[in-house]
Amino acid sequence: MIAYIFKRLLGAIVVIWGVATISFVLVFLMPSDAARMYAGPRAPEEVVERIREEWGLNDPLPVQYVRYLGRALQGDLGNSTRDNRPVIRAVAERIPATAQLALAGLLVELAIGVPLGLIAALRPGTWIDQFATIFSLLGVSIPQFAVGLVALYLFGFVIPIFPLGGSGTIAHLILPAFILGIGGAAFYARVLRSSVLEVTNEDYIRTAHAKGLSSRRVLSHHIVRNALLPIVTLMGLDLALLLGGVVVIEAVFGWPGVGLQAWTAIRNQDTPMIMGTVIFAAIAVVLFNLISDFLYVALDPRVRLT
Amino acid sequence: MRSRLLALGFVFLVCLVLSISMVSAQDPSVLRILSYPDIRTADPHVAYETETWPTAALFYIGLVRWSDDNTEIVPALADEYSISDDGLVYTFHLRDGVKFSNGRDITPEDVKYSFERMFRPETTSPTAYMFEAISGAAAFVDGSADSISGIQVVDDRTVTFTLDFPVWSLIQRFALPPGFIVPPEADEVAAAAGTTIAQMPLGAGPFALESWQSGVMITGSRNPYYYLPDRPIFDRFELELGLEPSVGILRMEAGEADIALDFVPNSEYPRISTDPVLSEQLLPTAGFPNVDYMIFNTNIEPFNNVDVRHAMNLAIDHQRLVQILNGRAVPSEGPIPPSVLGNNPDLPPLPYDPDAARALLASAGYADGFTAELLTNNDPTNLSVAQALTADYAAIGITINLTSVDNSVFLDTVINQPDSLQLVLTNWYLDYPDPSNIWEPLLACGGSYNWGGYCNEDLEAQFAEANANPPGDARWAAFNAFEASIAADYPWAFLVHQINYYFTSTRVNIPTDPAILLRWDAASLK
Repeated sequence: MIAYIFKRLLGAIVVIWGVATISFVLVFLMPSDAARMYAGPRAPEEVVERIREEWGLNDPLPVQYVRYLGRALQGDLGNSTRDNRPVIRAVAERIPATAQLALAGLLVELAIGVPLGLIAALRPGTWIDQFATIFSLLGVSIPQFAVGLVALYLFGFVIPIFPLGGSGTIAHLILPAFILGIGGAAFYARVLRSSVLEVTNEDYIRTAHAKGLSSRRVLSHHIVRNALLPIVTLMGLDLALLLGGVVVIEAVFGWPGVGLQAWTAIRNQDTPMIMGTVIFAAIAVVLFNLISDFLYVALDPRVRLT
Repeated sequence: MRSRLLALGFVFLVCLVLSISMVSAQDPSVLRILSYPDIRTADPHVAYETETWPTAALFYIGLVRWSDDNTEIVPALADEYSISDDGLVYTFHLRDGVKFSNGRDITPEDVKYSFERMFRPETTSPTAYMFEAISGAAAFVDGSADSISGIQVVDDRTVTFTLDFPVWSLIQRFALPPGFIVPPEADEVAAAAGTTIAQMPLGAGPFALESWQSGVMITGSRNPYYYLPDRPIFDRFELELGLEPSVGILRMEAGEADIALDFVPNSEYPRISTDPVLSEQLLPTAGFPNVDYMIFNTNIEPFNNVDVRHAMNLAIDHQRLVQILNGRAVPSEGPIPPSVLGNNPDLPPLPYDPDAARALLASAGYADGFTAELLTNNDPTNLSVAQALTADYAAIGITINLTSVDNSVFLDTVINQPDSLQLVLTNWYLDYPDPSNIWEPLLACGGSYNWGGYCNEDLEAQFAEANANPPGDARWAAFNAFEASIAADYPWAFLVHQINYYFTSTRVNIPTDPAILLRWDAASLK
């Protein structure tokens, strides 16, 4: 067990290092000049050159890379080239908002996706199954920014029951969480539907029926429990992705999370901040992957650690 | 089942009440401001964007300001000022009892400290150059002097600025954010709180900082020590950050916000300007007059030929450019924007005449046209204008190879490799409304932003003569004539002057200002 955890943690570190390296190289290749961005278009060249020198931007790429990694190991991801604040602090400040939205989004996904998937699977071919299929298709295929903007216009402006973007109260959270949840709910519904249909045809379900168990008990104790297993894995990955920053939704709703921060950083070509948000997202994905793997082992006795 | 439904209905009702009560909250004592981008700094010596200048002006003010009708510079923290006849000595007398928002008296030493802070290399101020005429500033910057000799504390209320050469527009520059007074303790107070002055401003402006949540919200309360005792009328302001522009406009339409620090986006302008109700909420900006233009590298063929430059002006369909800007612009006939004193209103419009352009090109020896490289940044509007120019020039036989690059790469190219350029599409927003802010940086021999290397000795002499006049009718008349002379030499392809608008809610009145863009202390309820 300990060897397994150690192996997985080592793998996680390698993945994060890989992400940091790739994003560093990509950011370095980006045709932009961080010092000029910071100083502004009208700053005299001497000022810009002074900033370049101060930030070590004139050093060769390997020197900058080694320096970056060295500092990153000490928990220093550099300073934003836009407002000169430490990146790690700026990202940390945004995590609560993103976590709040991610959890709320996940809740909506499960609240809509699980019942929809179950009903669709238990009543295959009926109107509700067809509705679930169409809903899933729409939810997965309509871009979130479009749904977000339309929802804001409808429920924030035409029928003003929710605030028009921003943050601060529960009312601010409802609309973005709902929009975020719809896409995911559609996905969960599809996965759960096929999972339930698969489990329903298993031998042990037939056995359960043959034992004389009531349909309700077979459903709740045998079908749902087993069909939910893939959902657990999915949830882990999903939460990781949501935590990594819901860039589009956060940008549309002005939700002050890591996603909006990443979006702003990209627009301002704030390279240390881009790196910081990417590394944070990588850590979130790796961490929740690990957690969901361990959880899977705990939930499914057939899976053994090797 | 019924109880579950009831519970669900109850939750929904609570949410509804919560949200409606929040949406309809319209506290008349709070000014609600939006900014689409995050605000990176309120440090007036570092700020240089359309959203950071008015942000700095919430917390700071300078010795002087623009008058309420935006026609002259009047005292602010100073109660009187004078300029010597030779234009070399500026004397400011501080108001008695004037204080920073922390309650401390403002002294002439604070004024000296503030200007020296701006010039310190570690401040990396992009705007310090506006005051480089102050004697001893250069020595202070290169470290050979401990203080700026040209700034002298005369007595406990008086401070003087001595210049190396007269700069008549300098008094306007004192009204800009780089002229705002930052107290020495501001940096220390911020450092003690684990932040910097960028996000913990402390000045003598209309408001004092309450809280700064990066990317979320900045709040402030009325500065009780403000030099105008009855202003501002708002007890507090809330500046919400990071909103999507179209959502921001909806917020103001719905009365949930009062003004955005950003101009109305190009895409929203047609809808708003054609709506009889919404168009009333447009507020034309008094600051940042603009000129859009295309630079010719006048040191290389064929652009060193005035007939070629003239032909390339005649080939432009200016109305189409105005259309591309959604009607938010007027065609330009010369470099000085119409709202700037010194603009020559009698310059005839540039005709759109491709036939005359072709004939002129032929007489200049380019009957078969030529191929040229046009560089611009990747701003979508700039790109559309560049494409329109490419089509206009194709019609007279000039093939344009268009290159569009990221703005920082664009700046790096034009600043560091000016010799490689042929044509450059760009624009300029004036920092202060004086024609010298066009000529000196953009067209004077060796000007910092004169990327086309234009240099005309006759015009240099004419500028020196016009610029020697102190502000007044004689100065503006001389600049009228000067603009006509520039227009006749076609140093650029003159394109348009953009007009920018703010959008406000129906409940507020916020005057605009040529220096700080929005005058917070004069904001009122309708």
